[in-house]
Amino acid sequence: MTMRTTATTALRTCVGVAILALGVTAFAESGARPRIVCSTTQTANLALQIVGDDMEVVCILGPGVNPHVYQPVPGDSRLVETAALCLQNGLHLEGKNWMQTLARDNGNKPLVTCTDGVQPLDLEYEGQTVKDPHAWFDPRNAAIYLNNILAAVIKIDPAGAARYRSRTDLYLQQLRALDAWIVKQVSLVPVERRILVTSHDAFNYFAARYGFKVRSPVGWSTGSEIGGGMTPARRRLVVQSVRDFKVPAIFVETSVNPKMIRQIAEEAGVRVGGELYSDAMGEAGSAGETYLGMMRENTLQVVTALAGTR
Amino acid sequence: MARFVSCLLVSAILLGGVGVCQYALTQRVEISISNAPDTHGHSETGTTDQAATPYDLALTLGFTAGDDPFAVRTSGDGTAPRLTLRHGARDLYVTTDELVRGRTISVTNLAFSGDAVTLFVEAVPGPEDARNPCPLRLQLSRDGVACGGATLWSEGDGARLSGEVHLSLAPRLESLDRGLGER
Repeated sequence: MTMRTTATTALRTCVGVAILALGVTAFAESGARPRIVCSTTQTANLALQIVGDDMEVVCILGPGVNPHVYQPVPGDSRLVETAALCLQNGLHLEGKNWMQTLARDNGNKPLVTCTDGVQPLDLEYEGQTVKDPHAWFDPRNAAIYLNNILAAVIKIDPAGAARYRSRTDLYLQQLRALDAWIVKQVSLVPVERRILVTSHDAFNYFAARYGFKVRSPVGWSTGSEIGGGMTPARRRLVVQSVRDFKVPAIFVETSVNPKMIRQIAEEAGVRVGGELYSDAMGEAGSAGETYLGMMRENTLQVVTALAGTR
Repeated sequence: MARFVSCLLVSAILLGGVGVCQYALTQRVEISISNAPDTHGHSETGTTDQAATPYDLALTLGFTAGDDPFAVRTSGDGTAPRLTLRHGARDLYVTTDELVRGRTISVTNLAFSGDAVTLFVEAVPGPEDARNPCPLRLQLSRDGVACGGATLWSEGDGARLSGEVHLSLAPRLESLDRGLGER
């Protein structure tokens, strides 16, 4: 009896020690997860597809926040200090290169520019020709983002290379399917109606990939300044310009107040086709929460408005 | 009496041994016959050494193979394979060259054994072709005699052509009987 009790006690002790050891290991492992700090929601979402639960992905910008005009706060510096890797879009999407500055000033963290390798399009901005940073709107460029992130992630954790590569390959196949789906959807819009009138030039890559022309109404200011300083004369210019395009609908971005766009659309006799996700993705639970969802939602908005199926 | 029984036992053992040996020899010969390719147009004769005569594989593309924008690239060179042919873990043919529609690629000196071989093929139709299903024809031959063949199709909608084909290593009898007239 005594012997049995001793054996039972020993067994219990062993089980207890094993559970404790497992718990400690799990805690240690969870605490040791490398952290990736991203500037934009797009780069964060793409990074998440590669690393899964193996790393922690944190994004500085929230949904709907404009990266062109963002001013970093002290909390961002503390976040970057803890990063094993930093990601930025590049091509000056991050106004005044704020992500580059954060990475440099907080421990000189490794920084990956996701647009490295992208063939940039030119963009007219405030009278100057600059490189268009909105490259993710072409899924083939999103594939370049993914491969850039993959290479950097493997450098941090070479032991997990097979897992990261496998996840990347899977997501690239989803991008391939997305691209084919968009091509099919866009084919519903007659070629002569493939004109995108938007509140700022974020959709050049989308337009180039899927055969759209992008038009900006004369007198329409860009970016966050939309509607700013709108005089009656300038307003008439915009309305006439929209009429001249002979499009059934114009589009606004989720980050822009649509009130003025609706008024201009009404005066010009066109509809507001819908709100498109542009510089930032959507809130959790919205269609634009993920990159794939954002692209699908934008496509549906454009196609249903221009093809006249709504 | 005991001597008689002993002799009987020894004889039985010897006879049994001879029988077993004959059975084993018969089995071996049968295996050899069933696998031996007949290169003379007659199925009833001839046994050749399988390893001695390698196979050739012809791949014919019904599309122009392009660069795959959705390939995993970590080497930084920006070039992904446009056509890959694999047997198990072994790459038989990999190219990053541009391959035009209708081109036939010959992969020669392939050593296979058994009744059939399973090959993995992956190709990347170019952007124009990728929208529609694209075919790729594989034809195995040995000493100029056609063996197994198969056609793989991509799904269209931008998809890669990718899949396994199961090719017979035996010669196709109809090709061997050519010249005997309509049946």
